[in-house]
Amino acid sequence: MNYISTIISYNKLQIIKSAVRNLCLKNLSTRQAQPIDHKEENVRVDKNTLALLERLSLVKCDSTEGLTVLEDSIAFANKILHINTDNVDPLYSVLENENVYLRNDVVTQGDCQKDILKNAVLKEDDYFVAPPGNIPLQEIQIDKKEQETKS
Amino acid sequence: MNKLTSYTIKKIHKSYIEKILTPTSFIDLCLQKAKQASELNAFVTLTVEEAENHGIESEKRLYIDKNVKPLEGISIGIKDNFCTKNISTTCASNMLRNFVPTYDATVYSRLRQAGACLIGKCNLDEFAMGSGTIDSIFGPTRNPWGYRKNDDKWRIAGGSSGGSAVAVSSGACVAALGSDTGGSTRNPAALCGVVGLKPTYGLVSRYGLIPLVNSMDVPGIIARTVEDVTAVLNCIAGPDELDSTTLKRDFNPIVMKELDMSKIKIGIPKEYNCVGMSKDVLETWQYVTKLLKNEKTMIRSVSLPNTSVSIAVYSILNQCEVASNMARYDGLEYGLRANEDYSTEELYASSRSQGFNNVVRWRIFAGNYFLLARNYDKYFIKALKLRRLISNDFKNVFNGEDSVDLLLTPTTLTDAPRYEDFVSKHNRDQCAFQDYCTQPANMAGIPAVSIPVRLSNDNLPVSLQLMGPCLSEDLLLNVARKIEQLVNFQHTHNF
Repeated sequence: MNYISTIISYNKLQIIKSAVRNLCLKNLSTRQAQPIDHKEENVRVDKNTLALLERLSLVKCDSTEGLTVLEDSIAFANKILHINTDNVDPLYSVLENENVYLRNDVVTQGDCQKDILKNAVLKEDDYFVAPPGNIPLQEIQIDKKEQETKS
Repeated sequence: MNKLTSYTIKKIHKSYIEKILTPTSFIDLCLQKAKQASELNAFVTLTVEEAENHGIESEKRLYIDKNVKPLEGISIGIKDNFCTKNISTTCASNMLRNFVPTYDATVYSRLRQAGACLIGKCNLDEFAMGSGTIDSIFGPTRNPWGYRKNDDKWRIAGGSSGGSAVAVSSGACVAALGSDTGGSTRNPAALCGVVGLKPTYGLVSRYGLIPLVNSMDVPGIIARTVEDVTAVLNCIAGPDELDSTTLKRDFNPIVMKELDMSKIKIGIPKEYNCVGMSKDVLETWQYVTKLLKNEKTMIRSVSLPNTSVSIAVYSILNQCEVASNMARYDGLEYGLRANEDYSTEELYASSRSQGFNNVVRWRIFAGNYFLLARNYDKYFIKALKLRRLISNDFKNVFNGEDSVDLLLTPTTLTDAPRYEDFVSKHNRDQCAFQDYCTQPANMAGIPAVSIPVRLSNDNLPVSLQLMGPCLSEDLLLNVARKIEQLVNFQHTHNF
């Protein structure tokens, strides 16, 4: 699959190359590449999506500025969507053709309980301490709002 | 030798042997320099005790054991996102303000094995997200070039490894480590008039480097000369059992040699000339091209057609990997823990909201948006496909017909911006502008080096970048040294 796209881009390259082969550097100043402009498009993120992102990120987006920045980031990203990537495979790692080996499954470290606990703020005996689990964040926020309205 | 900024590793070692200098006296000079230049804010932590002990150890090895290691008695700075055992490592974030690692990053332990002495941990943008070293909980780092006391018109150092670049530029360290995800080593090196190398992805271990974007992060090297950068690379490069993404082949130390420049083919990619590039930068680019032509180097205009979208692709991939990487900070095992005990999720959310600055939080948001099940193919996979096209652009110019050996481009679009001008823009806009020429090398995993060339109209350094195919560091650094000799850049600031 890649073969085709390589040929196409290679041919394009040849055309461009032959066109510019004899250009000297002085011409550069008159032919400037345009960095993609990202300010034209209006992107809106709805309340549900924002709430979902807050829950997934476990970070509160407590300002309208945060929302604006998010919408702006999406608008910037949208500028790549029109580019043709048919028959191109994703490049997950630049080491895809390297033989990155796995180590043997044997213990190489240990006896470091003290070290591991050293940076924890709260611990009890030899354990990390966490508050109760299984209470989703949204629920808490609703609870809190109810409490506030009651009081 | 009179000025600290004129000290190269070779000269220092010569003076050690002739006993004009000793490691303890030199390290003392470096510490004094760091304190005297403290208003530049290059360091998060000055490791005075370690520096003095390392200096004493070097002195003993040098004069009693008669054993000179490659970086014996050489002062170094380390960006504060590399773990150093028992020395706090903050990432310039409230999240890790009290974090003290229990192990060393591989690069740091290799530098220590080579005899280097740690002067301190260097300032950065929070979690290395930025291109100015202005978003640090310890305040911004200032560029020594054009700096006058009590003048608020100072210039930014570039970033995110601005502290490392200023530590070297001001003379407090001979060399420093930065990290480079989209240009974070080359950008501040360029703006501070020092040499900055981003090695091939996988050549230098990332073990102990607190991750930003795993598929692009590399440790970077900053020093005042190409030869010194090479000396440091020779000590830290090569496979590491502790990092499975290091290349598993032996690294042959690079030797500086005289090149026949007429046998070298250098490409000038036309897409790197973009809107917003200053006249100073363009003229410097033309100036070096001319110098190389005079050396009979073959210069050829080439095309990397996907360059202009690279920054947007980079931005998507960066935010996606950031969202994933930052998931580790929950306040339980290490890092800031908020005062919440109602539920685990409440504790996580509060700790993360208090621990991260806006830039970090907003990148997590955007990353998670692109990674939503309904957006995953549309943005993330799409960006990875474009990453292949960008990477193929480089393969096409380095291989195939009419190929070139190296590419010559600017590093940054302008000289160092004023702080007040820079902060008037949002972080993403700053990066989208400043990383234009640097991030494509990270997308493709290829090596790149930034070399200072001359001064702009405002008497600030202007630098150029050389890029080469994977593992071409030998040629890349030797040609960089040739350019360095041709342009003879002088460190003329007041520090």
